[in-house]
Amino acid sequence: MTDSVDNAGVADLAISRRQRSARSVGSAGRRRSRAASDFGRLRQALAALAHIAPGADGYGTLAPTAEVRDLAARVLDAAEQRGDPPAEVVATADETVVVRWLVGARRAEIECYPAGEVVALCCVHPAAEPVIWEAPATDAGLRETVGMLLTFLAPGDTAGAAA
Amino acid sequence: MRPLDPHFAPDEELYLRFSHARLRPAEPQYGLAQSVLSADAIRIRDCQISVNRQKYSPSPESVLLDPPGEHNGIAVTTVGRLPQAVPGRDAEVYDCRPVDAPLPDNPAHANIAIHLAQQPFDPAREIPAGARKRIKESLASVFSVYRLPTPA
Repeated sequence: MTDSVDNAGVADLAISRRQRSARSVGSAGRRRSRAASDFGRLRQALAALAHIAPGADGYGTLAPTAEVRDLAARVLDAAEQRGDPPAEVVATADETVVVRWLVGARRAEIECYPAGEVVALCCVHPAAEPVIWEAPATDAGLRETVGMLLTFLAPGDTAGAAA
Repeated sequence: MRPLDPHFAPDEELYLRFSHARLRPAEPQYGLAQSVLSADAIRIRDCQISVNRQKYSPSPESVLLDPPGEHNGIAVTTVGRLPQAVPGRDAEVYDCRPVDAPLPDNPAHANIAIHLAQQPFDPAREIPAGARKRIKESLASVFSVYRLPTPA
């Protein structure tokens, strides 16, 4: 299947942690331009997830459905309104899509499930236990959840939004 | 096919294959000294996760496909490390237990079954998404990387 890819195949479309960190450097105009470019690449990465080869892992995993990808696209819309691109958009073995921000030691993510559910996570440190909650899947709910996660990730927030 | 063997010793190892895309690389500067399994690698179907058990595996590598392809990483945990009392919705908590499940082409196959605590296993039970996410994070945290997958 020539058009099949796994997450690794779209890794070059994702934005590395280093690039993500570099996002805050430069003029406001350059930052806006870079953010627009980042979101374009993230949307390409999301679209490519439709072509994951079914069952390639031997556990029967399928590509995330169009509904899951649409939900993830709405998360990206909410993030773009804040001008804050995530580090990566990946398909999981559980046939969900995770939109993930990585800033320093902190991880924040929104996982989109096939039944339309949305789950948010934030974690202050790789070895720390994450805080996880079910979030509303409405546009307003997604904007609010993205806002909470970005507050959690913001430099200078030593306590963490959900701590 | 071999007969069912429901006995699992607490130190029996369980193996899971995964690809490089589902590896969280080491980041010593952030306190992550070694690469670990991402929760993105955990697949729950019918309240179960497919693994291979050590007792019927000639080696951990027997969990790999032939040819292995890009899913050539191996993560390992032990029965005694499986998560217990993972919080769900309201007062619900979930336990993970090993269940023998040999297959004709994979005699080492077993499942990690997710139960509501104190209740019999019900593969048709819907696990709420928040609980599912907690279970996947908890499970990933008890696996160690035995063999690093190669980048695709």
